Amino acid sequence: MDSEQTNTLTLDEIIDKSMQYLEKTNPDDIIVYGSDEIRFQLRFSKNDIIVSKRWANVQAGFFYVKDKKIATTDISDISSMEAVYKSLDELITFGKAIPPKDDYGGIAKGPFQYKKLSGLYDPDIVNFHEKAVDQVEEGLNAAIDHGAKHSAGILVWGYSRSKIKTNNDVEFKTLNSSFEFLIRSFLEPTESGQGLSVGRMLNSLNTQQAGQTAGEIAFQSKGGRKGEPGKYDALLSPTVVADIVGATIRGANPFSIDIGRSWLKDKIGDKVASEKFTAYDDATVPNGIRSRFADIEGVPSQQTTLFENGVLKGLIHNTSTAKKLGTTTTSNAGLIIPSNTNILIEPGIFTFEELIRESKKPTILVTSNWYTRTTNAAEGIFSTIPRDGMFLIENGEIQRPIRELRITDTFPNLVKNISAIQNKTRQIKWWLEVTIPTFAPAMLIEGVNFTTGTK
Amino acid sequence: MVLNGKDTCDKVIELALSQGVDYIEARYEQYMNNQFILKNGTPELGAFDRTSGIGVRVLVEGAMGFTSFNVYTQDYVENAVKQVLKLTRASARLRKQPIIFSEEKASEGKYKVGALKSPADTSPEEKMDLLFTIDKSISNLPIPFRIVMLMDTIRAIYLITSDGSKIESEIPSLNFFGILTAVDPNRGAMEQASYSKGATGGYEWIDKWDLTNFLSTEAEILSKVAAKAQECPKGELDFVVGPNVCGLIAHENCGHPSEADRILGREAAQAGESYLNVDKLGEQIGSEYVTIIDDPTISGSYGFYKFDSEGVKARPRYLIKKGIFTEMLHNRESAGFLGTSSTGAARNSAYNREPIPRMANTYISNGDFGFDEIFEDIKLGIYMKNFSEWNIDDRRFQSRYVGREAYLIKDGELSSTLIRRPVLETTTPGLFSAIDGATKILEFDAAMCGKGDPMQGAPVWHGGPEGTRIRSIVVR
Repeated sequence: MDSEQTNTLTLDEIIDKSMQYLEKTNPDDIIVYGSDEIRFQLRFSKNDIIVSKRWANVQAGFFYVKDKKIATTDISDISSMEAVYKSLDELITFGKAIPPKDDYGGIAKGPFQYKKLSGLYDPDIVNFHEKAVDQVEEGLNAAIDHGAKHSAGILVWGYSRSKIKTNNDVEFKTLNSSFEFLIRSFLEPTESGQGLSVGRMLNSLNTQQAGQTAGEIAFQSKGGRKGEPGKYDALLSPTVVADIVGATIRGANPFSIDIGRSWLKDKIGDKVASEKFTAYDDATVPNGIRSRFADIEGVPSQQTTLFENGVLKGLIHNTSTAKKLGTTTTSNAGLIIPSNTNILIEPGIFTFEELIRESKKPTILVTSNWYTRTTNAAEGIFSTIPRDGMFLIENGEIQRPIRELRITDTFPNLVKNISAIQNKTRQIKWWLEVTIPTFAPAMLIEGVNFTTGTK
Repeated sequence: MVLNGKDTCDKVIELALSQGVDYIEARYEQYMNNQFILKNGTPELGAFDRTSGIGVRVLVEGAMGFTSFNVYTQDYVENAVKQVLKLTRASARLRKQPIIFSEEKASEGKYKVGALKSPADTSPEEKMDLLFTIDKSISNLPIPFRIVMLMDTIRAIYLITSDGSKIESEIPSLNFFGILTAVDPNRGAMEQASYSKGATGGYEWIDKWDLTNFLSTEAEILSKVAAKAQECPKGELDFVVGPNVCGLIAHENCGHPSEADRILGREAAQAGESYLNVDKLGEQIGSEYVTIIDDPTISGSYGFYKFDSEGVKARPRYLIKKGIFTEMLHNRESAGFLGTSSTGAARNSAYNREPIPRMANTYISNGDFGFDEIFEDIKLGIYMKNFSEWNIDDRRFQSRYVGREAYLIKDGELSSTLIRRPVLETTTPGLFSAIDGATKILEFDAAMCGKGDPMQGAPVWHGGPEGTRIRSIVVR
């Protein structure tokens, strides 16, 4: 049983000894990584905390390539080096069974110089559980003060330390912290609003503001009636922009293009969007949930311009995908699939109130959405469902709340028809809808198609 | 597979009870996962995970706590329990009424789902060869983008509760997933589809699914849709939906809104609430032809289990019977709140996730029409065999299903005319009240259902008759 699990090994020992063990097999590439993480969650509903959670996870992972045959594993039994070696033996054997990936281009060669990045870890987070219930209460009270009857949501926070080592002269450790507060407030079941506060440094956590936003939108959505389908200009909140405009930015990924899950194939250098549209992947942005000083290959983080004035400038890459396309890594490894860090959308010049006033044609303000699905991602044909407060704007003023409409359009149309952009961004990340942290402004987009149920 | 961690679970129960909890359950779970991916015919990787851990749920001072860990030293375990109890007790002040679990009969049992070709006894070489064979069957078709994956799992669980349940189980499962994109260069048309097969058991399912033939046939159809499908007629049409669409309707428009935690608002900030409520139990919410069942006991099904994650014995749930909303999906928390009994629907996707009400295998029951018969009195309609895009609002009131392989029905007969992307966009009551018949034979598809925060992917089947008829749908 578990009596032999002493767990006296440190991550350093596990990683160093595993590297030595695997190197004896003369592989092409090895990446060994380990992490020790603590996370908490307070989940609430109907103004009550319904469950308090704490997760502790210690894990090691291995990326092993020999003769271009790629195998990976994650293991949790790191109680002894014998247990780890047993898994490594299985990895070596497993790797022999995998046919070579002929277009594999290797991992980065170190050593690298790393810039110091501030704002990755807040030491106060270790004792944050002492204050967490109060923070939830503040958010709930703010929602009620601004018109909500009840709210649901989560406050999640946690910290981790991790270490990465490769057989290409890369070795580094990181300390990370992050939090996420999501609140959805209600008057009646169809009258609701959402608020968010996400980041890494606790001084940017503002549950009160998120609760206020959720409460206000819920209150303003009171008495909403079914909207009329048709073409409208759409004023999309940062939350909605992060999802459905973000879909195009996330599509600047060679893996997505290779499998037909992006509409950006063969479009580098083309003007694919409004000239107002500029976007980056940026792992160095302060307080960005995925900010880091290097990717898993050890390549120092950078800001990568993906779209500039509507032109697709490039894709995110790891070393292997970059080599295949004759370019250089953008520090977005992802061992197999390049992955976004934080997405940044360049803000515009308008305040949110000015965007409303700019909306001369009938315009629909969408504050939140969910369930975005594609008919064909290679063409960007999609629909998504607005939820929470949705409002009809006419002659530059919000006229009334509406509901039961669906955005049914294409991603190319959305980015081509951006007509005005808010002058500031907010970091958005929530549940399944926006998993890549996205610093997004509100956007006014012309001629968006809205549909509704016909029976 | 030999379970570890049972002693730790037993010790955690003693430890938490000594610290004044009203209820505690502990589960030790161990996984053997293998995954193989081919992208456009090229092997991307082979991956495996060998992980395990313990999840603990407690009721204390009327509040609920959950903790998980994968290190089993005494100090580590004691600290994990101590910290979650502290946080849970602190949270109790933000509760208006205590959480009480429903009283259920304690269960004890051990079971193991058999596999003729266990994932553990099938070599990685053999698995990779299978995937290559499957992929090769479509390599000469006009499918410029394709990705195919095989994933197998053996999940072993030891569950013990402070009110006397003790269950051990071992369930192997297999999943195939693929995304294909067909292009017709002459027409400049493109169609995309994803395919999923899943079951409990082992690699014997590859033959049962006839996967090579299945995928090559589907790829050919997809290519034909890209090359030949015609625009959908507009106006008021009758629809007949195939088991793939019907199953999704059962899952999305009935299964999710029948989850008691959604009805009670527990999922409100994420997966949403429900257009159904407790007062609607016993009400007619669809036509008499609509009976929808969720059944975890179907042998070989992807959502199979004998006891749920709280130790409650599994049974079929009749969510809608002849159009009447009859039953919700309950775990002990939601059942306790409503003063009723659990319906054995508690599932957790991993040791580090709490058990919440979930579907298992959800389907619309069959009717008595023959396949040709179901089309006979349709003057103009669409047979939507399967879907590409779909979504539904977070109260499960308004849904949209876009057809992938769809045919014109004209003058009582199913034609061979392919129709491009017909759209069934309705409210749930509108949809359920418009069903007026179904065929005799049931079919099922596999899917991974998403819910919870953090996300809990739960393997499910959904299904229905070969044809279910839906009257008078306006297509714009």
